[in-house]
Amino acid sequence: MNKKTFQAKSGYIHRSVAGADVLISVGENIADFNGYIELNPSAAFLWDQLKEARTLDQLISALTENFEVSPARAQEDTEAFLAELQHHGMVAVR
Amino acid sequence: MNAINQIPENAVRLEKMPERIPYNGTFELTVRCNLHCKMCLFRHADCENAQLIKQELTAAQWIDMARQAAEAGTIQLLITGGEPMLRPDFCEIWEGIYQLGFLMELYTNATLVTPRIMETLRKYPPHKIGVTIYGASAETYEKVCGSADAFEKALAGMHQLQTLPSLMTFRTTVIQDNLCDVTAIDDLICAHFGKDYVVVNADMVTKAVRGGCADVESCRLNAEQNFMLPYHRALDYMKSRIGESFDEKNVRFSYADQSENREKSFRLSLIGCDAGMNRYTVTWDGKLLGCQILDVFSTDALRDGFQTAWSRFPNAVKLPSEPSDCINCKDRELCECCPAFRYTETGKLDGVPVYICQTVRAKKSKFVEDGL
Repeated sequence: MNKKTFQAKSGYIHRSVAGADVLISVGENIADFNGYIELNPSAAFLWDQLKEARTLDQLISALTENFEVSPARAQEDTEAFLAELQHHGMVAVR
Repeated sequence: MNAINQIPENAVRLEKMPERIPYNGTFELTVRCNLHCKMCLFRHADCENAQLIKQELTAAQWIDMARQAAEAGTIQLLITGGEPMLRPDFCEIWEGIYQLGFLMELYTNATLVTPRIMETLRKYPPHKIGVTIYGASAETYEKVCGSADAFEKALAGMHQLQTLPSLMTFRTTVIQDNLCDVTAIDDLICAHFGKDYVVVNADMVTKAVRGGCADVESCRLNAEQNFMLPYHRALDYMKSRIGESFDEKNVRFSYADQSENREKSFRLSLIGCDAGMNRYTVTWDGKLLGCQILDVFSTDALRDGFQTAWSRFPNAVKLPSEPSDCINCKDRELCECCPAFRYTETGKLDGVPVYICQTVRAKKSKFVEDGL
């Protein structure tokens, strides 16, 4: 079983803007990314999960428990989201 | 062209009003300033300062206003003045607002940057900083801003601000007193901060507004100068980028007639732009305006709360028809006048602003008739 964990880095403020979830880059972070990212509901949910260190399996389970989505689709979406976060240096991987 | 009150034959009936969301906010922490710029739109006479301070929102009120604005949908927030760093509680306000999560922009003249302010901004760096520069020497600062010392202070402040990870922009306002410094300002910024920066000049210097005390008419460029300035600056910019091979004599500017596109484009607004639709200003004393230079339409965000003030704002807008001289003007398509400019220039929403008419005529003469 893969025990690698993912955790959101500090330097992002998650808030709602006119009904949409956004992550706003703040602090020293803006040297690398000066802007904001809009999140769909499942991405916003996963970002909240990532406040604590989570394994891929934990994230997939949480997603399937809270959204009407098949395990296969949940895995696909979670992996894609984590890849995007890693690409932008937004998560710590341990 | 249809008169403004006639409904065009191909008009589309609205099913509902477009959604107004206050995405883009400006918090004007104060209209007071340590400089005394001759062309400042907002600065009041110094004798009013004691009274102004009493009416300014407190730090707690600004932070609460920001919380309400965030709930209403604001994502971009400009902190400006006057000079916002003049407030002794600037750091408290900045920190409190920043932590709520906005894309934060700061306008400053950079003359009041202290170690404490830098400590705060290093922890909570603005996403963008707009620094004003008014001359390339102490002498010019004395003439424009009433303070020779401000030149060195501003340069030192800019250097400190440049160490932040923020996007930095330089802005100037050209009047008769610093017209001869325009190229020197560009060169100064290039020498101190590198070639990546372009100094942005205010398109038009309007008369003082909202109780501002400056006699702008006595110092601003005349219409011809105001129009030709960006033309000459554009040429200088091209020369600096292209180098010796730049052939100025063969540069041709042409005017692209956008009238057909404008008639096809469909825009719903309160006063002709996004003011009051997606953009607003909260003034130093807590009024909500659509446009920072136009205070005839306002609601009270301090008394009624931000959301209520924002919701009620459209009811505060009572816009008269455009003046017939403007509707029937043959140069209308070259003119970018708006109710705010009409009001600041004439004191009336339906006044005809002569200065803008002169600018349009200069534009037509140079670019349409001469084919410059």
